[in-house]
Amino acid sequence: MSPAMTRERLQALTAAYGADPARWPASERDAALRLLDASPDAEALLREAQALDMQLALPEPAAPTPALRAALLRSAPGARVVGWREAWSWRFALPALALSLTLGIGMGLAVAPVAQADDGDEDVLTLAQLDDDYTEFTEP
Amino acid sequence: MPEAQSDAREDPDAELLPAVAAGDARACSTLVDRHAGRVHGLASRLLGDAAEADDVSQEVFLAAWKHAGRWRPGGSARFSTWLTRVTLNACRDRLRSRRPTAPVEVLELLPGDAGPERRTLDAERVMRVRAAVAELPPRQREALVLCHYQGLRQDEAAAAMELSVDALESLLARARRALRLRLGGETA
Repeated sequence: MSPAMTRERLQALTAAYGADPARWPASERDAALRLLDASPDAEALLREAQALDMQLALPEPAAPTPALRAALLRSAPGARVVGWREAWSWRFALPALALSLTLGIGMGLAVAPVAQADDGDEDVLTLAQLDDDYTEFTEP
Repeated sequence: MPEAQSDAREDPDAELLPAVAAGDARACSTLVDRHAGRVHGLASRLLGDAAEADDVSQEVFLAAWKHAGRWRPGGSARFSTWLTRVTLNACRDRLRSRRPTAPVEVLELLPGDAGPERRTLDAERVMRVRAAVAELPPRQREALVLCHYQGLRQDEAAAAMELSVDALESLLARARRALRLRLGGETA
């Protein structure tokens, strides 16, 4: 049952919630609107609240960006499941990586003595030293 | 608060949350689409900083993912009310360590079809209103932002702030009175 509406209560409603009836408590809205229809005097309360409502109007804040939405979903429980799948796949990738590394080192060791025996390569290595000023390229 | 309890039973998120907890990607996506705008908007309005609002949104949704499996349908509040409460708490933590003094790029938010003079006047008004709202006592500011700017119903806002509806109404009336005094002679 909607409570009796008085001018004092309408004043309290507009003082707290402003002039827009949509913001008033649903249980009192109809009674307040009836009072407004019946009493031109009560309308002054509405105009006063309306003026402040207009002053308080602000632009809507920016909506969440697609990047934020994606970040929120990345932290969701479903995304964690994908993360575990990825972690599971690493269980197979890691041994393959270790095997490749071992093979690479082994082949490197096997080939190294041949490379050291090639004296012509020493000139190439000397040219690549970082403490070289490369004056032949920088001075006239 | 009988109205809030009946709303809790009709919580539109109640059926979604078990699926969220089980890692259903579509359910998570729906939850984000339903609530990210409100969470981000509330944080933006309280903090006045879009980047911080992004951070708060991430904190709030981390909490949501964590608690989705433990949510009890038919409890004393709707899930959206709980999200609002978590957002308020995250914003309070940040506001405790600083006052919101960072100016927001107001001009970017105003309609582009307004002339430059109108845009400047609007931008000045918006900055004055933002400053006046930021100077309100914290509880009054929260009540105003929740009800006036975010459009929450009285029972939802009161539940999020852990207040009675009467106490919320009192905070709102004091906030509006203070703003009327501060913005007194200014035209809209």
